[in-house]
Amino acid sequence: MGKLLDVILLAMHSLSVHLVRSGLTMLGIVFGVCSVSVMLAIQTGASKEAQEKLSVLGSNNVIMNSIEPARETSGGGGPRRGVRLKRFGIKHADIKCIVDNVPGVEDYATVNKVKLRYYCVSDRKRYSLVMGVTPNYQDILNLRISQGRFISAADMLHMQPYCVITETLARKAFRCENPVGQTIRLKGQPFDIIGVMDYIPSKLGISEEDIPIFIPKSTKVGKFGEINVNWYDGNMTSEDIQVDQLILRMEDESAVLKAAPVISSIMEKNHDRLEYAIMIPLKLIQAKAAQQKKWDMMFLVIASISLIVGGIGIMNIMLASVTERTREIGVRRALGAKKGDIVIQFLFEAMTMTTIGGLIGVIIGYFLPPMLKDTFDITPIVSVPMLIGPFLMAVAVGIISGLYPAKRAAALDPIEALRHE
Amino acid sequence: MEPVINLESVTKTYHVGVGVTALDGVDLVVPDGQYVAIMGSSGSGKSTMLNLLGCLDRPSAGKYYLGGDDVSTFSDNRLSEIRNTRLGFVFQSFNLISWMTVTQNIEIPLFYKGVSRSQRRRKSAELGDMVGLGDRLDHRPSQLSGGQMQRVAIARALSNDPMVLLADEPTGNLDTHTGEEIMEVFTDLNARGRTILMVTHESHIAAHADRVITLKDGHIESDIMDYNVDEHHG
Ligand SMILES: Nc1ncnc2c1ncn2[C@@H]1O[C@H](COP(=O)(O)OP(=O)(O)OP(=O)(O)O)[C@@H](O)[C@H]1O
Ligand SMILES: [Mg+2]
Repeated sequence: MGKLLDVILLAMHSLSVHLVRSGLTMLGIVFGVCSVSVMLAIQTGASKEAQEKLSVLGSNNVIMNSIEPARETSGGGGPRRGVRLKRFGIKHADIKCIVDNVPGVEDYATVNKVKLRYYCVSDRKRYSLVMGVTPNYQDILNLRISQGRFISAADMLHMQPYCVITETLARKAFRCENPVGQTIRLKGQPFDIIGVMDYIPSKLGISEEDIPIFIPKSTKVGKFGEINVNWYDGNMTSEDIQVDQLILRMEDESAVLKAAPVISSIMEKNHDRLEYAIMIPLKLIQAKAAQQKKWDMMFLVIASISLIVGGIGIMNIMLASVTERTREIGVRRALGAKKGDIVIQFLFEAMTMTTIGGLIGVIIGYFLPPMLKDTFDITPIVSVPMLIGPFLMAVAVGIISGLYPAKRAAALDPIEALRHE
Repeated sequence: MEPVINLESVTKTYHVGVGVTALDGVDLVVPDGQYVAIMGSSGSGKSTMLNLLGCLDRPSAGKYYLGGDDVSTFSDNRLSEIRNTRLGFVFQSFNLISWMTVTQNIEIPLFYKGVSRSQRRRKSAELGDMVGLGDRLDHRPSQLSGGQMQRVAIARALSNDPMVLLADEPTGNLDTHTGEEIMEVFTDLNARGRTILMVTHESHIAAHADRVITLKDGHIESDIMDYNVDEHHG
């Protein structure tokens, strides 16, 4: 133990003799370790983000949206003036067909949307996106309710005039008051607020700006009808969409991947135009993760190269040092140093440089990533255990780059070394 | 009593293209406490002999007994240990490590022997005092005169209390006056029982020794006991 400390102190002392040289050499390791650490932080941040997205959208879900088909395919004459009824999207028949034929469907939720004016005491009258949903919508999408509760099966059955609003709307419309139990008006009709939803994942195709308000699907149909009438550019358009969104929950991830082509072929058979979109969160995330992984690998390789370059710098300096100190090596051998002692001495000098360099690099690597938050669209995540890897890499670089010069030093013939210069 | 050094027909041949026989069947017995000067013209094999005696090299043939052990068969590591514990080296060019202080230089053999830091400190201060550099312990070699540097080297050579002190032209880089001062240190050490083998070119330096061996072309040409007696009375 004392001996180890002696060797370390000797290495430090020797390095301090050429402080500038040691410092500059160390810098290579500092940069290398720092860039590896930053890369790891970005990678960790990215993979956590992907994980979160997947958990929100549900890795077992298949999400289908009705979309308005391109005009050319609608066929039959030009657009008529005045009232136009557009009929498109996913049909109830499609759902039945999918549920009957696709293996592994566990559950499904449907959504019918309508843009309606809403009104409440302290917020101005504005349009909100009213979402008629089935009660399992919350469960399937793993949505969090911060106050009250979500729509229940009983609400659905009795077509209750209940609604669930978002945290954003709650804050805007009710300030500090508890919104649960308050009333909100949708197209003049009173709805009781029964719950507040934590936040809306943007991937659902709705955002906070749409001001989503959730009501039972049966209530939506009962009170506002199946056909949505919109005023747009002075024209009244009406849309007849049976199901705006269908969310299928599959048994497991493999069922999701197997279901995808089956669903596609069913929909292709039932529809002669593209009036639906199929989104598979698992596939999206997997594709994104694969892309991210490629970038990560590339950056990690670049970062590692800078560490290798740092290591070469160390080796270079150590070789120069061995040549410069040939006589010292001869003296030490004459005074009783074994070959192993010489190896240890020079190895520890290299390792001391890379260890200190690694330590500095890791410290910078700990404080730098949070500052890069705005540079990347990813929030980097740093943790102390994560930095152990880059630090050990630096120590390893010290051993690898120091070993050859150290062995060369030890292999010197003492007599020749003493005669050197 | 067993001799400290016993060379039995030691030969050293260097192979550089043609073979050079630097030492050719040398026999030498040095009893404990003797002060031996090794003389001879340049290239006669003095340094070669001292390197062999100092276990920095192995004989090509013959045997070398140091303190009774046949060190010519020892492994590299064992030879390092022998150099560390039984031998002390003093060089012509001092060979102090420039970036270490006087004490740190004196400590080197203790360091490789595995002596603890506090004991090393104590021993090196003691030895520094002994060679008259008690007030220069924290100086660098570059801050010392040649004579002072050689004193540090002597203190360093003595730190593990060696059986034999080996010196290759220890006064070669010093002026006559300083050389004489260094010789006083050696004489003093020998008076206290230290065995010394010293290579020198100068007869007035050799005059301090009990015995003078003269080498010529790798073998002992003359071996004179009581050299100084011969010199002054012969
Ligand atoms: N490493 C070596 N390789 C080849 N030949 C060597 C080697 N070392 C010494 N010699 C040769 O051995 C012979 C003896 O050399 P050595 O150094 O022992 O002489 P020396 O008596 O110490 O001379 P000087 O008084 O000049 O120091 C010389 O001929 C020299 O050229
Ligand atoms: Mg010589």
